Amino acid sequence: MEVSGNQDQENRNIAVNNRNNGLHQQWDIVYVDEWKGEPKKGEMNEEYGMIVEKDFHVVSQMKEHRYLDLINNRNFVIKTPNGRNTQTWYFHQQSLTIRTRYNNQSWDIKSAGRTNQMQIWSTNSGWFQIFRYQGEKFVNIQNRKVLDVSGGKDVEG
Amino acid sequence: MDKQTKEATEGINEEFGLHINRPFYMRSRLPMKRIAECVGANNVVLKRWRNNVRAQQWYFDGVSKTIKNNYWKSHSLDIQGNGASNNLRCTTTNSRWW
Repeated sequence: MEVSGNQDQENRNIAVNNRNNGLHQQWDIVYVDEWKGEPKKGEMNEEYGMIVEKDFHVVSQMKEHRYLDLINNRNFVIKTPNGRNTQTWYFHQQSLTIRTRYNNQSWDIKSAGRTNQMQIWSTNSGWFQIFRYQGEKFVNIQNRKVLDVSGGKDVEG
Repeated sequence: MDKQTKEATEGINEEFGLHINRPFYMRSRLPMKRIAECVGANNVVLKRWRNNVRAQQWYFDGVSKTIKNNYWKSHSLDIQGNGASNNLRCTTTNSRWW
């Protein structure tokens, strides 16, 4: 039994096929009387390392401790704390994405994950929008790349 | 005269690896961890978990030896076209190999 076409999408067909041990052929049986449900607002999502819908800033650990921010309200940069909501983020349980308080769009690797640039974009929960917070890094769930300040340069914008 | 043994109505069926008549979710291990849901007593598709939606719940029926849907209880997992295709459906129980 497999997820057709290995596409982790809503309403995706389920089929049978020859076994290949892909993740799309792997399933957990969870008995309903043991199902814990999903974390609610204010609860920790242990798997993703963030509290559901609790606001946070992303603070670079480089010397100036700049905050993750947006330029042109779209692209990721680091900036000195300025109180704008483009510097405030939250974890959205339903989509498993990190969203901005500016307009509720989600972190997104540009071009559906084919580049290294980060932006905010309408939520679609593609793999290129889903990150875990692990060991003081934000790690993409599929390509395992981490959020990185380009060139390691601790400069404004 | 020999008596026919009754089919178990609870406990685990060791051969099939499932508890009898105990509803469960089939949760994909893909990142979103979506659930297999029977839609319209027909297709089986992947969907986000929703509270108390019985079309997302399944159980092993010890009598028919099939995996039945907990909303359409007369329907079981079924390979479409009498097993001739790859598509999985949720259709009236017939206990054939597919």
